[in-house]
Amino acid sequence: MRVLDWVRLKLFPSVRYDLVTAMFSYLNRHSHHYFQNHFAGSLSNKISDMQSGFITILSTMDDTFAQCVGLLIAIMMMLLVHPIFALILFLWAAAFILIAIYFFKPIQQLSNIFATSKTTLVGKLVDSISNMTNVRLFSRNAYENNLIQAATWDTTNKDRTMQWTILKMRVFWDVSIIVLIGLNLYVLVAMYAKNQVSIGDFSFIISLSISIFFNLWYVASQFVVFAEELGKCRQALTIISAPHDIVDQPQAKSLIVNQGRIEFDEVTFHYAEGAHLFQNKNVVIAPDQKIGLVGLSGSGKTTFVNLILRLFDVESGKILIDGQNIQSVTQDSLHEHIAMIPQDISLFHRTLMDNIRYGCVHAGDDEVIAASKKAHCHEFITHLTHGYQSLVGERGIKLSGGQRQRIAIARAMLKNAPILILDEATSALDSMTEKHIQEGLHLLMQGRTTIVIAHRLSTLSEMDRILVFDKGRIIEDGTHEELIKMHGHYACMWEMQAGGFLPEKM
Amino acid sequence: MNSSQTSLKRFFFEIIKPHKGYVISLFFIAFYWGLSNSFSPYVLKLIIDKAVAFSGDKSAVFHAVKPYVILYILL
Repeated sequence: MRVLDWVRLKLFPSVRYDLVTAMFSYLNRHSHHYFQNHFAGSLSNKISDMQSGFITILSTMDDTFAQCVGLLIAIMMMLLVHPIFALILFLWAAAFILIAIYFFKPIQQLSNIFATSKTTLVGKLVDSISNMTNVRLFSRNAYENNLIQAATWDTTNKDRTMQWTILKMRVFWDVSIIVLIGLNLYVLVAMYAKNQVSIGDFSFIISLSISIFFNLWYVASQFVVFAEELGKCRQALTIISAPHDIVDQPQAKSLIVNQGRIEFDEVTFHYAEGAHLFQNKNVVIAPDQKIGLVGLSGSGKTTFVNLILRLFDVESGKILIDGQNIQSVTQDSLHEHIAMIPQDISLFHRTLMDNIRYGCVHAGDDEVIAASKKAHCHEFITHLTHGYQSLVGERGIKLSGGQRQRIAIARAMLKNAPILILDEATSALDSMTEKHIQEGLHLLMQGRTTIVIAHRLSTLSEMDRILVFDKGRIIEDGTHEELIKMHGHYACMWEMQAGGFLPEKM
Repeated sequence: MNSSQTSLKRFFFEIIKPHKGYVISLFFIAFYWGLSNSFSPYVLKLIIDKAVAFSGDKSAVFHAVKPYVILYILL
């Protein structure tokens, strides 16, 4: 048995390692759209389920194999004593297996249903816990409790249905085992009376029956776990059975950016859920040009940059960077050449040093600190108890919106990519901090193609060119002064804003 | 890992493929365990039958069953 333990010791941790790494590396190549539609909690739960389920399945298969071998040997041994015992054991084994086959499919189906329900529950729990601030602010504790209770009740019911079916199967098994031992005893006594079996035979048949009883009882309990784990594994497998939405072409090359010219050539795109947003769009952004994107919410500004980042694939047409179609280059190389500061900044629950260094993982501490100084986050970081070694909480919750933005700016500065995209990058900053950071950002923009999305139009006045979006179309194109003189949409927005933000409707 | 029609069975085989030596050992041990588990009661039967049928000096009974006892212990 210790040899078995040694083999398990060698095998199981390695299998767990392979499983987690294989599943995670597949998962993190899924598209932006995939992660928008799946709960983070449920995905991590699936990876964890696969680890434990895989080991249980392997162990159960191993145990079942041992029992099958044992049963075959037992039947042969009993043949040596008297064929009647071999026949009884054979018939009993057949009945036992038939019961298992009869119940296996329903148990497996119920197990799949239970696993799906459990995954949904975990997803809801994670969603609720990660939005606890909203729950408090809206005083919706009771509402959330009801939601979770309903999901838990659903899971509990599905668990009960599955357990009830398992119980029925076990009753049939129990009855069959009682019949086996009873029948063996009856035949033994009858044959012993006729001197057809010895004391040794008596001991052999009874001890073997009891041994088979205990071993199969163990396998039966494992079988139930096996069915449950199989359901969980099938659920977990959806992570890797779902094909990647966006994949690199087989011969994809690395993107080479020398100038940073971006071109939309007859691009047509729409989201799965919506109408066409871009129809045969043609835009050329010259190298090192600083472009501001303006428009009301939903006008297509963020989609425009998401397409450059290839977070979604265009329906037709192409997007070229320095003449290279972004669909023909590797996604890694594309993202290496673009630094993005998104609207909703999310940080890792790691140290501030690690979060900033994420822009360039090989950067030394000095380079991280230099970038932090330029992004004006060095001041607040040094005031924290643990300085750059402070942990930022899940998604950076321990920091204010402005502090997170400054960390994201420092990270982008460290990345030093030839193309820079700022999506409302300074919206959460106070005017004083924004002024300081703008200086840093202007330095950062030098010699780079820059796209800036801003609702605060004053931040765009120094752009080389401003594109005004409306329902996916570019309705105005020019410098701040030119657009003001045109007395069109932009001029109207500029007047309405009066130094503030864009109105929601015009 | 190929995505499109990944079945659980295929996925399992892909994962255990690099560890096939240990997996084979695992099943070999299971085979041995199943064998010994059913064979040892038979050896016990042989010991009992030998002991019951032994008609000589009772103190010499151990010598008569010794090979079976050793086999039983070894199993």
